[in-house]
Amino acid sequence: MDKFVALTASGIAYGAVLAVVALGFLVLYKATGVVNFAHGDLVTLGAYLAVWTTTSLGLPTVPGYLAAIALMGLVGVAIERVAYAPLRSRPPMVVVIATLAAAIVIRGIIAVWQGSEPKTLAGPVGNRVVHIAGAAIAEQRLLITGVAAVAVLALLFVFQRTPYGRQVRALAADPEMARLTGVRTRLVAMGAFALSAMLAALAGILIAPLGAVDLNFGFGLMVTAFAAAVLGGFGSLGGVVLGALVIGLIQQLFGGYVLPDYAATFPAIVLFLVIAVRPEGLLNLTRSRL
Amino acid sequence: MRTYRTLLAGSVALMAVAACGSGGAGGSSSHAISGPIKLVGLWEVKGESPAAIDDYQNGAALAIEQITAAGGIAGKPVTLDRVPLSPSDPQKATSQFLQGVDKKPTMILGIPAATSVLAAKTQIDRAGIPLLATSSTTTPIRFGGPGGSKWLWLLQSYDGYKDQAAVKYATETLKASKIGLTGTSESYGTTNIADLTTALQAKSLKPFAVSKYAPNATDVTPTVLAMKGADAVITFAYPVPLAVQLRQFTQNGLNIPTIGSSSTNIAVQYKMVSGDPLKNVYSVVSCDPTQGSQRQLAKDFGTAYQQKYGTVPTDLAADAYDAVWVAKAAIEKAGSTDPAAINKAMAEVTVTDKVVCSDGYHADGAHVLSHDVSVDKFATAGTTQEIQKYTFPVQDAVK
Amino acid sequence: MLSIDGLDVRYGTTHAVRGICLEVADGEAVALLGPNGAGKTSTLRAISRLVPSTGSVVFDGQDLAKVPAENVARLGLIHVPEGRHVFGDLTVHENLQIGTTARRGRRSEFGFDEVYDLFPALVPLRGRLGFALSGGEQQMVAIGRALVAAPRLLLIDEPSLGLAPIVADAVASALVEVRSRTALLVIEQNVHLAVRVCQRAAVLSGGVVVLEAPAAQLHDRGELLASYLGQSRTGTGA
Repeated sequence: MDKFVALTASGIAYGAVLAVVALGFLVLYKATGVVNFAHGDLVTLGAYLAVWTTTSLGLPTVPGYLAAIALMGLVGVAIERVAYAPLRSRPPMVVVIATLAAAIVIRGIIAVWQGSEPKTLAGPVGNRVVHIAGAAIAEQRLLITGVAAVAVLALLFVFQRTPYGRQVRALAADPEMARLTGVRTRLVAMGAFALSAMLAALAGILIAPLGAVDLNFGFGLMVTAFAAAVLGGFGSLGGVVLGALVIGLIQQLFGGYVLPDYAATFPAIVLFLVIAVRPEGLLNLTRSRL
Repeated sequence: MRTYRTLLAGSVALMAVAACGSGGAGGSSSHAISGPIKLVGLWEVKGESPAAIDDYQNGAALAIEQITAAGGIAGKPVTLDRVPLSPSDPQKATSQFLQGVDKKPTMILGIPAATSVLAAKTQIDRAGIPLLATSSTTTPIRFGGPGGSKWLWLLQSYDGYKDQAAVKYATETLKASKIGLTGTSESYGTTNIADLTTALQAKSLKPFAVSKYAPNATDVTPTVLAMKGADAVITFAYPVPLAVQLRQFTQNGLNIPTIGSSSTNIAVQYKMVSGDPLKNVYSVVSCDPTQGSQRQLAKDFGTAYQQKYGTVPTDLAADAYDAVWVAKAAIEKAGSTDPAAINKAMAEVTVTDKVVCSDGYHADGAHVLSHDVSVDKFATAGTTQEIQKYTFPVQDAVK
Repeated sequence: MLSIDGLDVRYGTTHAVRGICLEVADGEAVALLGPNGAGKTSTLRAISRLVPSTGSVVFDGQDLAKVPAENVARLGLIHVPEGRHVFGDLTVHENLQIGTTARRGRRSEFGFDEVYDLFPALVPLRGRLGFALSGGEQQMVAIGRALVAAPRLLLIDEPSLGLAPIVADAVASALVEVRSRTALLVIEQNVHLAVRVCQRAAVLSGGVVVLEAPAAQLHDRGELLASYLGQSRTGTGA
């Protein structure tokens, strides 16, 4: 029983972070049609910025985190200006390749700035543990789950209830018609880049205190989150959250009970299965934008 | 540290390098030592690639400084030149090695990754200049193996000896019989787990449990729960998930002795893990150049290094330092700058003067110079104490 | 209000609109008639800056040549495109809400309530998603979405296309109501509907204006019109 509780708790916490990563991915995709393969490196950069604000700048943990997230908003805008705006009228494949280039540039900048040695990010709750039904669960995992849940709900609210959210959804459904209703696509895109980068930073900051931050930190997370997004239909926000939780739980429970050596490959297997069973989700990206 | 750099280079698929006949140095006439002696280090300094570090250059420069102060090599001045060679880019190793050759050195030192050594094999054969590699000593690059060369010498102890040392320490000193194995689910973790399993079988034991996790894992709960009931755990993992594992053991109230690789030293050095999770943690390393070492020479090196660079040396710095001293001994034994004579001396010389990571470097039939493995014990403050040293047998050339 | 002079639209080697000139005065309703491929839709898309064009398009004294499409809408030149383009994943009400994006502080003749008054059929459908609507309902949403933007000139492309006659009639009645409050430029195949809504008509064929006349006179020129429109019957009430 305690084993089941421990595995479930860690699966939910992992799924919650995946959801935040996947939503950041999706927000940008909906607003601009861009599949941003630099998203994982934005996760990495967000965590490094938090390390910088809390150690080099000496800010307390939570204000340091918030400062890092705010900075990432600016980074998102900068990426929009430099890597996306000039390519706006180019074919999607060109833009996707540009995001790969952006990923490499971001990684290079981090390496020059922070070096290649892994960094640690202090968590607000340290190494404390709570016991639930006999299972030891790190408080950081509960914190992750709580903060991620708040972020997801806030994002759902923005999408469903605010003019900005409506504009993003309109843009996702029919970009030309959105322009005809006066939606400023460039501003919305810029906002989406900022929001997406901030969500990436949040995910990085949530999970970094559990391990350490290095240059490859966010990439693996992005790949798994991509699987979650595909599992969730690569469209509805709710579906993506569900997909993320399913992947998190499968990885922990299946990994804990059935095939421990292969836990890391489950997201990729899920990705293949989803593509095989319902390929329309991936092969027809432009039409399934919402 | 060494492990981590090597890991960065890891899993790069290499094409088999077709063996070309070794051309030799081609007509270089044998002369007694004259003029300055030039050594070339094949390693990077910070800024040359994302993974670049200063440790190798710092260690070698310190040795050159001490040698110069003591009158040089065989009374002649010695210079250290350098060509950047990235541990994570074996595709470039050949051209970088040739750049080193173009500097016409007496000896070449360095190359931080075994995959790079393997990649440069053909050119190493052709260049006809003795190369003392500081990479890890994998099977293919030993003399007689597909990447081996009569000109290639390997400073570090055999990789598999660390596995044997871990099993030896767990069974003989810790008296453990239920030994769990954990590691990362890529080549580093899996090959070591296989070797550890073999080493356990040699002592008529089976692993208590085996559990692997992804190199980027931030949650290893399944592994931690699988180890419940073991009386020792041996772990060959990347530093980041290793730190997670150590912390999660403590969080789950488990205090099982854990023997890690040098990843443990990296994880501690970069403060990924500290305090309570370090109770009962050991590591098997080829070298501990800190004040916790049992060797006075290692302590001396650590002091000098700390004074010059302001940081505690890593084993990588100690390797480069030792490589320079081994080169000095070989050149002096050859009494010549003739490459063939130096290469012959490399096979014969025994080096105990000044060196940090071995009680005595002496090449065996596989061209491997060290056979020593140390066991470190960690204090919760993060310092290490070398508590055990093993010297393993010499081996013959790979057949 | 809207003044088009020498408008040319090319798609690759296709010359869709060949130097047309057209005026829409304040409060006027103008129909743009013509057979398929005459260049009607291209003209509207050029006015809204959805396709590149040469020649001048001046709206309320401002040259639109360098104005992006979203800002054209924000000036009050609102385009209801062919095929309605209701946002399928937004509800009826959200579709109306997004229409206000282009309002920019102009006083609107139509708020949400006025739209629901104009199209009572939409009232029970407020929360329904766009893709679940019938063609007629979508057309009502598309027009309503344009009306809440406080249009000063509405461009409407084929409002009756594909609608059952009774639904087309309801749409036409609404447009008659709209006409009294805002200027209109309507593309319509159904000459009967066009004449009912508009005071004036321009007939396009082969990318040029071939006939311009007050709507009332179209009845008298039925035969000529039929030849241009390529129809045996013009639907003018034979």
